Amino acid sequence: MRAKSVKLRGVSKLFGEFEAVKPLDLSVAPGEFLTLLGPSGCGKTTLLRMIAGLEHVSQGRISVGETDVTSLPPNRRDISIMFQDYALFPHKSVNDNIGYGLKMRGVVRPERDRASAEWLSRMGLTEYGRRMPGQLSGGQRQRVALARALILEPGVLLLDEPLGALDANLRRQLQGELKRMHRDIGLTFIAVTHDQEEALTMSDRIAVMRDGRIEQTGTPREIYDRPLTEFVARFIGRCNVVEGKAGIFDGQTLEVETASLGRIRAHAVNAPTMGSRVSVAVRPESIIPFAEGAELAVEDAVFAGGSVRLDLRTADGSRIEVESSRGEPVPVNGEKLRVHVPDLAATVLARTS
Amino acid sequence: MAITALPRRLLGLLFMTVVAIIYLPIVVMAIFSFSSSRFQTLPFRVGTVEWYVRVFTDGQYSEGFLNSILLASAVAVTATAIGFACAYSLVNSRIPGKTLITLFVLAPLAVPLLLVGISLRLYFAELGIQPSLWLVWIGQVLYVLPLAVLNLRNRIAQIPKSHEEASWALGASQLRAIGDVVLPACRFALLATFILTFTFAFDEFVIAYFLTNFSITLPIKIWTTLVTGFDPTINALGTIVFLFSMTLGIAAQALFMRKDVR
Repeated sequence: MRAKSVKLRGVSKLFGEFEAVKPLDLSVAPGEFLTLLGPSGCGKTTLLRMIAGLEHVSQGRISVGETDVTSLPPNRRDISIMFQDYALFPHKSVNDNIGYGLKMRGVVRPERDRASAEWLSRMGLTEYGRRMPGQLSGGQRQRVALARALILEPGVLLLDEPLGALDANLRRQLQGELKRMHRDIGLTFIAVTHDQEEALTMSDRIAVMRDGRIEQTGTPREIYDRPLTEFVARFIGRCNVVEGKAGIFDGQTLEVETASLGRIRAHAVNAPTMGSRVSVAVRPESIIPFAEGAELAVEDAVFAGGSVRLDLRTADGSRIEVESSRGEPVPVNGEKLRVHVPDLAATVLARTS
Repeated sequence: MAITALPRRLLGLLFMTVVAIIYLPIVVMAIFSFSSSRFQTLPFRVGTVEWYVRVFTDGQYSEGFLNSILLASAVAVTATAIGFACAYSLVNSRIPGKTLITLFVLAPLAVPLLLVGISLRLYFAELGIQPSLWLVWIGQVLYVLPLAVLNLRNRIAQIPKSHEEASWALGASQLRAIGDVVLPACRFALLATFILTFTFAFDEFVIAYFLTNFSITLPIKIWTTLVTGFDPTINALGTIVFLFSMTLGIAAQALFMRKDVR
């Protein structure tokens, strides 16, 4: 198959007075797996629906490959979409569901059935062609929905909360399956999810959305390790955000004097004015307990199987979360504990919102 | 609000009384339909199906019956079709004032039939159109349309929008998507709506009486028979019509309760 790029320029969506999506740019490379991640109501689904052509664009242009598709109907955009509830037609057999798109293109039944049988075998569902969607399990339904979308050989596949309708166990299993499928067929995938773990494990790149804006775009690693804003830091996993005073910047590292964690050498992209206030994000697992550094009081220590979660309090009463490996001793509540923040483990946040 | 034992018993009694008041005359009618007396008087003399045989053999009801069947079928088909279109638009449009429009569509339910009958008669007279079964058809469609819209609207609202959208995304036009996705999903609701509107049209008297001249329906025939003097076949016919309507009504209800979509 031939993967296509997707480019959005100044795309926005108004519902009456409400700006569901504020003018934004986004480009997705051919063959890339991009996930739009954000809390409900952040505009991610609206954005996906605009790319699909199910929602009109209020402003801006959308192109797929070299073609401007802004005013084209859904079926002429070289895009397929898989819905959260899969939207299988309940009164049509699995075969007729998969062949529906081809039928709309005027492909005759013998050919449709052949193509559908081929996709069923690819999906490991060879025997299921005559079943009705109601007779399938959640995972099987998803594969039928994928087959129905992919049989049209689109350049781009859109997935709306692809695993949202499944239970936790199946979800983890299918995360891997989707990722593998993406690798095998090499299409451009654009998915929407509110589940950060799903986004981290499946995507090549994540766009974190908030209030109709893209807050940050980057690889899962960048998003996790180098969040740009407090929102991103807190939305993706757990995170400590501490305030401090900016010190010397050497082009990559900023010295920050914090009240709670002492002097930190944090990653920064630009130099704030010396002495100005900055926020620094540091992940619980990046802080090293039982080391030289700031002294904190243990409020609570919880053994969590693979790790020990420490709930610490600073002198000024703010809370610091630390995750230590299971090899470390479990401290007693009320005990004093010194922690160390390694160089570049923390990230200076942009002072927005 | 908790209902304690005594009021609950009172409510039960009230309910039974209402049911009795509604059904007792029908039961009396059904009993007398088997009476061998020419007159509806006590003592009840048991044991004949003569009146039932007469209903079907002596032909005085056949014109009305045939007209009623044809008319009710036409009304039911029309109302179900228009009702589906209305209901689909009401569910899917994003226009402001949707609630108001819905109320407007459903309002005829609250208008007395007498007013509907009289005003339609006057209106058509003004237009110079002679009363006929065609006018009854139009009048009865107006009368049962809210029922159709109401029933179908509820069903259509239950269909996930994503099913239609999936159909569009796969290349179907909006009309094609309705045919491929929406109609099959409400097939039972459509059938139920057809039966329900048929039943209402079949039993409807007031509008028919005002809007027709020479072609009569079964309810009109029954009425004219009654005013010109008692005929024992009326009891038998009434019982038949009652059972017929009840069966259809229950069938419609059963269909509405059935889930079209798994």
